[in-house]
Amino acid sequence: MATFTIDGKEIEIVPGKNVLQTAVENDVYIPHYCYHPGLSAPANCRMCLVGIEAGGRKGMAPSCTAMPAEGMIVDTQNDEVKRNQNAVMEFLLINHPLDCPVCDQSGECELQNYSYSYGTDRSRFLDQKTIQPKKDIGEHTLLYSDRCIRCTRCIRFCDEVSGTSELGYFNRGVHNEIDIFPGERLDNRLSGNTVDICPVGALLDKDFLFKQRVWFLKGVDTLCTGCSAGCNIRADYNNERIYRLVPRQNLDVNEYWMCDDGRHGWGYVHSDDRLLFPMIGRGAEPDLVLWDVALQKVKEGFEKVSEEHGPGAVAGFASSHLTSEENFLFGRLFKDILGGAPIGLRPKVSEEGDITFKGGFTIRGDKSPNSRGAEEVLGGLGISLTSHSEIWKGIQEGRIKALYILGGDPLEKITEAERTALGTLEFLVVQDILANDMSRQADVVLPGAAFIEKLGTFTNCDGRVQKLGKGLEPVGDARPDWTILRDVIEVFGGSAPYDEINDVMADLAKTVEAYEGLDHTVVGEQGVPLSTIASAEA
Amino acid sequence: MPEEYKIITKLFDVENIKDINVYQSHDGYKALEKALKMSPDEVITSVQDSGLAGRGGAWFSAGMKWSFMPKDAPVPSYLCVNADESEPGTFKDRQLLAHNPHQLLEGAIIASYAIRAKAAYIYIRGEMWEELEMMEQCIIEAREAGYVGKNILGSGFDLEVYTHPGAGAYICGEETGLMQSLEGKRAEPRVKPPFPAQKGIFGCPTTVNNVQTLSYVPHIINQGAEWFKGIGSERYPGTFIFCVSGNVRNPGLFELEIGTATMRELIYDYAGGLYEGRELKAVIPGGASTSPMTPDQIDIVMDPANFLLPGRGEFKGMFGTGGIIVMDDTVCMVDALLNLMNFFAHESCGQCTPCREGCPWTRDIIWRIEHGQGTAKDLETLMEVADNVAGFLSPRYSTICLFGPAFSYPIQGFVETFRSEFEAHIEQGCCPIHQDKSIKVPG
Repeated sequence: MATFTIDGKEIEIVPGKNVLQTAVENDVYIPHYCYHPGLSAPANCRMCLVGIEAGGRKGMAPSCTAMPAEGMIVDTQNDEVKRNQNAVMEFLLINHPLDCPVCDQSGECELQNYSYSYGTDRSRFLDQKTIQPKKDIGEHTLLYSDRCIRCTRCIRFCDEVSGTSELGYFNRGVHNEIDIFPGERLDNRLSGNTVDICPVGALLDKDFLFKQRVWFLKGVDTLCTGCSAGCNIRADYNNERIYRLVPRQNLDVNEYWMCDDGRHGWGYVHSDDRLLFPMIGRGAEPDLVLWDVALQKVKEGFEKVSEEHGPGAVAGFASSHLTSEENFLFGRLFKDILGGAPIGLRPKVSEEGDITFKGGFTIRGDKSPNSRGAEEVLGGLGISLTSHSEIWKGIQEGRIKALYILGGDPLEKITEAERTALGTLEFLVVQDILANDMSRQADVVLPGAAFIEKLGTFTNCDGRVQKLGKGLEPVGDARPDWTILRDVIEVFGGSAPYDEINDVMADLAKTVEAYEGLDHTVVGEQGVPLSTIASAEA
Repeated sequence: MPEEYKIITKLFDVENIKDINVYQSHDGYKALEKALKMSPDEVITSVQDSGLAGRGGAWFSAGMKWSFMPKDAPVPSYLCVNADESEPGTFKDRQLLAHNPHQLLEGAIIASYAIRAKAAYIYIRGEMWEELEMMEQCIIEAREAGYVGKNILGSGFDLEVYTHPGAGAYICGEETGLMQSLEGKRAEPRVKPPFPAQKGIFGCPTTVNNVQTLSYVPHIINQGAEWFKGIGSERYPGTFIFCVSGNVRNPGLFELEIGTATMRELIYDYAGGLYEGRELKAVIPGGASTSPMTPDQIDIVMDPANFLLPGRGEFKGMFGTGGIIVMDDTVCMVDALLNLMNFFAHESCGQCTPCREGCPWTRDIIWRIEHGQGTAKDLETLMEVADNVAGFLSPRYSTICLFGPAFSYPIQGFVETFRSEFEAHIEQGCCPIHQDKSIKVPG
C-alpha cells in the first residue's frame, strides 16, 4: 500500500487522484478556484499551492495538478503556503468591484469566503481598477466580467462537458476577458451549469437575478423530474416558493451537472392552474368539495359502472410521473379492489431521443422520471400492463365506461381524439396537479402534490432507486398522491395501514422482488440500484 | 582588450551567405554529413562533452536536454527552434537568422537527427518577416541539396523542416507558450510537469532550442567537443554574443570568448563608451528581466559563472541573454523601470493570477512614483507585491511560468540598487532628473 503524508497524516494513494482531491477527502481543505473535480486542471488561479517535498526537491506546487507519490510530504499549512494564499487573495481582489450588497453570489461566494479565511481586511491598492463590461451572453445567462476572476471553469465546461465551445478567452494580461465567440450565444442546453461552477458572481442566471438573497434560502435534496435520467438536485426555496434548482453531486448519475430544461422546469409548482381542491361534476364550474365527499364519489362512480356494465368496463392509467409507492398503491387498488381491471401507462417520449454531450451527460428522450419504476412495480405486482392504445381504443369503442387517470405531468398534452374519447366516458376520475384537458372533463378531480411537496422514490432509466425530498407543503387542499390513493383503497373497504411513506415502501419491498430490502434509509441521499440489478452485478 | 572570437558570426560579412552554394563553399553542411555517419547517441554525447549550454538565458546543458528525449517513443518526436527573440535589449538571434541562416538550419537538422525528431519547426517571431522568408528559401535549397526530406544523404533519416511565424507576443518565446502557439492556441505556458521531453508539441516528445545554441552545433561536430571545450570558461565553454545597446557610441553585437572580457571592456572598448560629458549610471547585463549593475560593479568578467543565476557567482543578479542596456546619467531609474514594466504589463498572458494582476499593479505604482504621486508606503508595497510573485533570485515563485520572476526581479533589483532615487521621487513629489531624457547623439 503506497502512502504519502499531508500535514503529518499518512494517507493512502488513490491512483489517478490528485493531491487536492485526496486531501479534501481526508478532511484537509485546500482552497482553490480554477480546479473543479469535473473539469481539467489548468492550475491558473494559484490558490491551491501547497508545500511539496518529493524526490529530494522541496517547494510550492499546485495541488490540483500534483499527483501523490510514495513518500511525498505535503504541507498545507506552512508560512510560505499561507503567505501565497494571502497574496493571491489580494491579487484577485484589487480589480474586483466591491458590490457584494447587490451581487447574487453574495453569501455563497468563494471570493467572500476565502477573503475571511485567507485574506486581509484592507486593501493596499490605490490605483485605478480595470473595469470590464457586463454582458448578456445567452438565453439564461449574464456575464458580469468585472467580477470575473478568470478561473476559466466556464470555458472548460463548454469545451469538455457540453462540447459546444461557445466561450473563449479574449485579449491579454489584465484585460483578459471571457466572452462568447462572435456570432455565438451561450445557449447550449447545459449552459446553467456555468453559473453554478462560477466561484464568484460573474455568471448569473437571469431567472434568479435579484430574486432572493441566498442566505434566506432553504435547500432540500431531491430529484429532477424532467426526464428519466433522475439527476440529483437541490431545490432552494423560501416563503413557500421555489427560487432555483441546482445540481447535486452524484457520480453515478449526473456527476455535477443538470440540464437547463430541468433547471428551469419548476415554474408549474406555483402555477395559477394548480388544482387546489377536490372537485366533482363536469363542466365549466365544478363543485369544490371536501375530500370525504370526493372519495365517496369515486367509490360510487366505479361501483355504479361495475354494476351496470360489469367489471370489464373499468380501466386506469398509472403514471410514470408519480412515485413507485404511488404506482404500487394504484396497482393494489386495481388488482385487489377493482377486480383486476386493466391498467395502462401513457408514455412520454421526446422526438429528439437521448441527447448525449461530449462529457457523457445525457438528456433522456423518455421524459417521465419514473417509467422504469412504474413498470417494475406494476409488473412486480403481477399486473400485465395493457397498452395505452388498447385502452384508448376500448374507450372509443365504448367497452370502457369508467377511467381513473393518474396524472402528474406538468406538460400534459392529449390529442383531440383522446379528448373526445374522454367525453364519452360515463365516469372519469383525474388525479393531477394542474388543470388541463383531462381534469376539465373529469367527474371527480383529486388534487395531488408536486415533486417538492411530497416524499417517495423514483427509479431512473438505469434502474437506480432515488428519493424525493419535501420542502413545501402542498398548495390549497391538495395532498400527496400516495395519501389520496391510500384513502381511496380504504373507502372501498380495502386495507391500507400506511401512516407514512416508508410504510408503503416496506410493503412494496415485500411484494415486489426488484425492491427487496429497500427503504428510504437504504436509498439514502445518493440512491441505490434495484435489488435485482445489485444482485445480478454481485 | 581581448580580440573578438568569431565562431558563429564568422561568416556574417560573407556576401550572399544565405545562398546554399556560398555556404557550402565555406564548409557548409560538412558537419551534417559527418553527423549522419555517427549514431544519434554519439552526436548527443559529443554535444554533451562539449559543454554547450543553452543560450536562451537559462544556460542549461544542451546535450543533457537532448538526452532526456525518448529513444524509441511510440509517437513522433519534434525539434522546435525558438526564434521568437523578444527580450528587450536582445537582438542576437535575429542577426544569426539574417546573416547565416544555413548555419542554424544545419544545426537544427543535426539536432533533429540526434533526438530522432520527425520534424523540426522553426518558430520565428512574426515581426521578423524578412528572416522568415529567407529561412523558407533556405529550406527549399536544402531540400534540393538533399539535406531535408526523405532519406537525407542516404542515411535513412527522414526530416521535414517547417517555419512558423510567431503570434506576436513575448510569451510565445517561453518554451511551453511557444508550443501552445505552434498548435494554434493562445500562448499560455503549460504547467510542468509534464516536461516538453515527455509531452510537448501535439502531446509528443519535444526539444526546444534557442537559435544561438543550435548555431554552434555544426562547429562542434566539425571540430570536435574538445575544441569547443577549450574555448571560453571552464564551466561555460564557447563564445557568446553580447548585444550592447543604450547610451553608447557604438552599439552592436560582439562575439567574445566567455570569461574573457569585463563589462567595462564591453561598454568602453567594444561599444565605444559613453557620449561626451556623460557618466555611466547603470547597466542591465542581460535583457529586461535581469537586475541592473552600478558603475562600481562593471569590472566583473562576463561569465555566467560569476553571476548568482545561473552560476551561483558573486554578482546578485542574472546573466541572462546578453542584452546589455547601458544607461548614463540622463536616465531616470524610475522612468527606466516604468518603461520595462509597461512592456511586461502589456505582455503578461494573464493566465495566472499573480502575474495578471501583479504586473499592471506594480506598473501603476511605479507610474505614480515617477509622476510625483508616490506615497511613503509605495516602495514597501511595491517590493512586497513583487516578492509575492517571486522571491528575488530565489527558486520561490507563484506563477506557472518564469514570466513572474522575469518582471518581479527587475523591480526588486532596481529598487534595491537605486532606492535613494525612488525615495527622492516620493519626497520631492516630482522626478528629480531634470535633464532631457531622450537619447541624443552629440554633434
